[in-house]
Amino acid sequence: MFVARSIAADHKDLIHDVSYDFHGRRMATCSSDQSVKVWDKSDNGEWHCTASWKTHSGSVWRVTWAHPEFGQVLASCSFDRTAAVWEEIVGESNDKQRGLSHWIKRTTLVDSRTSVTDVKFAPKHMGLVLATCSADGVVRIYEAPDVMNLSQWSLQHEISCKLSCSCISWNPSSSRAHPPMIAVGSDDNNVTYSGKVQIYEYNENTRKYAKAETLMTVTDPVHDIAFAPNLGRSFHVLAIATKDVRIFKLIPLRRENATSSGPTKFEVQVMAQFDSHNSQVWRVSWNITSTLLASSGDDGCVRLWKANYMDNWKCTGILRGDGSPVNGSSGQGTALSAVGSAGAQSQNSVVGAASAGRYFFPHLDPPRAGSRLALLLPPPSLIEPTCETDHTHAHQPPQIRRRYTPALPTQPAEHD
Amino acid sequence: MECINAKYVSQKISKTRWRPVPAASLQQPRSFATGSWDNEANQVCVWTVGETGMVGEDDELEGDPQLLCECKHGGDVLDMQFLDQDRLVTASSTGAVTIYKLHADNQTLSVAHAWDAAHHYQRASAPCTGVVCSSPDVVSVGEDGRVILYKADQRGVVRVIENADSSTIHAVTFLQTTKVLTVNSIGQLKLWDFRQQGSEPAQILSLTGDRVPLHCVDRHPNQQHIVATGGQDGMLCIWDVRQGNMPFSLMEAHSAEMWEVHFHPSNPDHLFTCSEDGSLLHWETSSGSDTPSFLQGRNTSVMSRSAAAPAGGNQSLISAWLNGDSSKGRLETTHMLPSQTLSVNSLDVLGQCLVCGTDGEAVYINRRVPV
Amino acid sequence: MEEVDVEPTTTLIPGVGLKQKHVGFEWGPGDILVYETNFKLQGAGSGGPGFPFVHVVRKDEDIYSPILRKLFNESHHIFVGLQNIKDDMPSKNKKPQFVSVSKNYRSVIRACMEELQQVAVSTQDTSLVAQYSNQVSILLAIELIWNLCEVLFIDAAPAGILLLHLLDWVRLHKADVDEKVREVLQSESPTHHHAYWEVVISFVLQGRMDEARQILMKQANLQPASRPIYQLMDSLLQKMPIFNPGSTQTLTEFDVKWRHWHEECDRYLQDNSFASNRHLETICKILVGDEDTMLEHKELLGTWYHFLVSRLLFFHPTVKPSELHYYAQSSMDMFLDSRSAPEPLDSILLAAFEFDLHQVIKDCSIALNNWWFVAHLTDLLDHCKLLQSHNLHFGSNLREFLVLEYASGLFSHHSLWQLAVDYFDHCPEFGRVYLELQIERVPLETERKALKVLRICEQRQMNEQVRSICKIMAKRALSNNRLGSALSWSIRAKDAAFATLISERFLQDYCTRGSFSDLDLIDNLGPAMLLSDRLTFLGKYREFHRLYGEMRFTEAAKLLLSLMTAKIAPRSFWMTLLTDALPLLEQKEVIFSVDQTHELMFCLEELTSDNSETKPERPAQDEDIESTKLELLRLALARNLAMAIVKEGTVEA
Repeated sequence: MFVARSIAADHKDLIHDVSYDFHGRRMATCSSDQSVKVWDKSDNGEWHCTASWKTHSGSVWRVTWAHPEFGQVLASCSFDRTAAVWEEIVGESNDKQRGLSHWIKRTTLVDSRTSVTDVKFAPKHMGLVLATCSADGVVRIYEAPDVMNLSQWSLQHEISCKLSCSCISWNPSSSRAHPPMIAVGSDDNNVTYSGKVQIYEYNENTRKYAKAETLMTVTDPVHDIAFAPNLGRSFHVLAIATKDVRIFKLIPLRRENATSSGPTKFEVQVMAQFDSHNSQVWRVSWNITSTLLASSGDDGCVRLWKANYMDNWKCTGILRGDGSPVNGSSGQGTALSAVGSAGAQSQNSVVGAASAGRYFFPHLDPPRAGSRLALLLPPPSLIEPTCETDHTHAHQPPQIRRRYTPALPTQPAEHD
Repeated sequence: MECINAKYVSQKISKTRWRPVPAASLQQPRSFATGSWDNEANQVCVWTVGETGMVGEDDELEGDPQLLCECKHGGDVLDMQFLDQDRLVTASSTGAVTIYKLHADNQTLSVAHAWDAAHHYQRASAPCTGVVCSSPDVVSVGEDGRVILYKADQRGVVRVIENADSSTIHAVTFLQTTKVLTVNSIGQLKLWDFRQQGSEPAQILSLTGDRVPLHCVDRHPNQQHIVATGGQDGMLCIWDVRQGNMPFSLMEAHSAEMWEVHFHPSNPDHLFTCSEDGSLLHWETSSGSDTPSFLQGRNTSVMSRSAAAPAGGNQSLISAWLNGDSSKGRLETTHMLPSQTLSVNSLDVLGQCLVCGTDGEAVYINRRVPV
Repeated sequence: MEEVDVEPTTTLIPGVGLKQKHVGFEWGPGDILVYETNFKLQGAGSGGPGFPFVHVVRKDEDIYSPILRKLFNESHHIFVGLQNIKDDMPSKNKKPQFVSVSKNYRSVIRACMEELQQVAVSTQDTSLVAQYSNQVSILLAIELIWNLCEVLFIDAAPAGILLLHLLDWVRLHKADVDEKVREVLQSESPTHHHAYWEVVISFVLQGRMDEARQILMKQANLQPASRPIYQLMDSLLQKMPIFNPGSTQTLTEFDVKWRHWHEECDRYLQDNSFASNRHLETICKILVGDEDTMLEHKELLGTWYHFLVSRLLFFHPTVKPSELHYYAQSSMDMFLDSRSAPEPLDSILLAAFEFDLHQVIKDCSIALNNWWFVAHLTDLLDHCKLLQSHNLHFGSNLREFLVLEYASGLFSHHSLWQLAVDYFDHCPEFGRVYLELQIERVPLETERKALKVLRICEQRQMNEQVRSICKIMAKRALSNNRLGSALSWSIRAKDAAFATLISERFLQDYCTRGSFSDLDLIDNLGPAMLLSDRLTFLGKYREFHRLYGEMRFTEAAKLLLSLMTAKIAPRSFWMTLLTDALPLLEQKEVIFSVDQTHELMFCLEELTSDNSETKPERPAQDEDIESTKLELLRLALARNLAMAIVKEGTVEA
């Protein structure tokens, strides 16, 4: 891995969250400086800040994008006890010339009495639905019934979790077999011996969310939680950041009678548990196809975890700060060290031993004269273009030729 | 010997165009331009393929295109056309229309002029989807439904038809000096006459009840009223814009979007189409005396028609494409590429030379097209 | 089979970790964003700015190499071709095809290597040179391994032919002899060149006897005195039997012949025929398969596997595949002294000689971390049905796992994602769901790109993705105020709700402006009109305007009325429709019949009774206009009714 570019985010305080939009062409950052910034990727791959505005009157913990089917919509949550929904609107043509976009607040959700710690949009098949959780132990689910009018949000559900909530995750499965489901994590330090992860499921009949499961084995504070993309499987996979990284498999048990209206029961299995961070883990997140899980902990490392074809999990990469000051902090919202495709090598010097061990072939030290590999290297003129093992042609000049003879028969036209 | 040369160019090719040769010379074209799309940094490149006159064993290497020069292009190259021998015009996904100049002496390419964000919405820029040149006139169309007329040597815009289309215009071609024809995403052909004011087309043609988007259009080089269009369903249509608003013939050509259709500029009995389905077709409608005898025997009406046509005149060419049903037995199609899975986005044919570019990042060149 | 445990690699992020100790991150489609933060902070403000940089970290740099892109594109072609080889073909006929596919892959690697080598030579930038030569050396190793796998597994040559293939393999990858021989021959006095004998011995070690003889002749011609022993050596080299698979000779016959020749060589060695020339004696020792002599020329052999092949050539040319591993292991042990431990490449080749395919693939994926290679090789081996027989437990799984990895890597690239589609198509278990998850993330900068993505989804009946993409495009068109495009996209998405919404915008625009926009679209809706009621109404209402404009009043009147009676028009629009009826009512000629007028009156009453109930708070001014309009309508309807009665009565009379 290598650092391709660095973007001067220009926030006046700590950044708490960075969020890519669905297509990865935009990103939003939020900070303790109470603002949110939106960045757009230009045609040449550089990031430009196109909007920056004060969103809350306290630290902004999280920022997240709605699915683009609903337009350009952001939600943020803050220490100021509120969450807010923002929409980009078509502004005046002046804005366009200045390369700026305009975001307006569609609603402020003020139901929480304490800091709102997480905000997440539900999977798009549920409509435009937003969940928040807060330190007062309540998960709130809001819905915009008219997707064309984002100023109207109704509080649909209030789920009392009895524990201070730190994080939520929607189950992304859109399968009919899986009712809407949300997992809640708690970092409550006051209650020691209870399960800190609760799973709630929507019940068609009662039209309410009911608790389906508590992961009793997780008793330490939970800081982050993430369902994996479902991949068409019958079971669910849930990653948890607590004193270590844990991956659970939740297998829905077959209901005894079809008419039973109670919540689904699960068989809970631990698929993996990693304590390499040696301390509290603060974030877990899956990549698009859930082949990789990333976690970040008190050791100051981001670790990437991967399962092989036999479902053995392993750490495959670590990202860590080098602890040195940035030189040349002049970069104003543009790339600090923009590197084109050809210049990747020069990044190695920046990243240090980034690629060491990736290749056992002399990747960092080029072939030495005496190395066995250097002996393998043929002189340029002798690399044959084709693999005809007939070595008598080896003295011909090299040429790459790929010739195709077109389809032989002329076909009668298909037409009417 | 028929052979096709493949060159991998490390960029997805959206457009390929031969650089025109002086009208008087009988030379085959020697260089062509390519435009890329969907790259982090897109480019316009000019390539040369060397002399064709040379014969001998060197025949093998002669066709391999060499990069002559390249220049950055902001956004995807959505269309490209040579204005004259030294200038080419591109249509960009950023809404810009740009004229590049090829400096033949030092072999470089540079931007001569750009109309930035010529196509735009209220707030953002809109992709410019098509451009056509008839020196010094340049006409561009876009997703914003505008038709814009420029003069190559004037900085400003000469004429804008706002709201020319409620849908996306996909392509444009000149019919006559003041008339252009556009095709759009709901299957319509619109004829525009720049002498008329207002934003109403002079004529609308469409397949009734059929809303299949049209992606490309080309005019018969000699008969300005005959045009060919290609659609999303891969259908090839031949139209006579003078008569009615129904196409003269409809042919199932490809199984996916037809991205380009071109009449052979000097031998319009031949037509070429390429498609998202990864194929490139050569269409030949035989006319006049060179109709193979077995075809004549099978289809006597053809014989009598060509016998009635003035020998060697254009009349037979017209009937060749506008024969409707009777052309059935006389149309031959040939696949010109090896079976291939990725889209052929563009083709250009000049003399005996054909060049096409694909999403498989390859440029194919055939310098012995049987025309 | 032991798991080779490798330490995960650490990537350092510049400027992070100085002030705050936590690193935040966010997954992107092709990269990871990382930033310095403090997760513990839960209250207000943090105390001063940190280093607010966001760093973009990319995973795989190979994918950004323009030359390797050619490898990806060209091999895609071969991959697709391989998947299309018919399963039902008898396996005997398939083998040559698989071998040719394998050669095609290798030929692409070679072409790529050559180009890298050329740019490496022409580049001035030393770091780039290093990068290019690294890539060359990786490709070279890949090709070496692939070639050996082709010989051992795909072609699966039997005893006799096996050694011929191995010789070819060694010759291809130890080509510096050819460079050296050129140097020698071009020198003023080749026979006195310091490398003269090295060249001869190298040729002998590679079994290139004719070439060795040619060079030897030069020496012989210069030394008439020792010509006899040169001639003796020449005849030995010439006579050396080489197995010819094309002839009728059996392996046993060849073996007998070879043994005779071997004994002859041995005899000459024993009776010191070459004692007068130490070089020729060395050659003779090699011919009888003397391992110590061969090992004295380590630098000419270069590698233990060259030693292995030379050793077999002069010791056991009819080696069976099953015997290879024994010779391979011992050759490696003899060749590598205690100082140089085997490198991963050595273990991979050794595993191949041991026919442990799974180990080869596994070691390659760990050591090379190059998904291109392991994915394509494993796929080919799986097609040859080699993985199943080797490892019932996870044959196809392994193939799919590796192909998915490779394809996912392609999808992380802004441009190469199109190639990945075909790879996903050929992963039966998870390919489809991976494609679904990845394809919807492809940014849709232009309609043309959206169409290409849609085509991929439509061909695979990925209906949800098709709907979603069209919806995104419709939403975007709407926000850009392109109602026509928005409507086209929602028709394609079959999104009735959205079509209704856009139709309403059209009607609103009509009400405020008094004319329709985007007529070219609305007039050509065709059957698409039926998608939503509101869209149907829009289309029909526009049709009414057209009929009216064409002075086809009776048809227009009938259509207008039916819009209300058939409940196509929304109630909110009835007043507008009734107002539209006014000019028709006031024509000289009677247009609405008695029955039709009655129905119109009924509609008006229904509307007014509704209105009085539901809309009490209206500005007085509006109320006035509204009541005036009502009065006018009632009057016109009454008048028309009277005229119609008269007219219809007259006709009956």
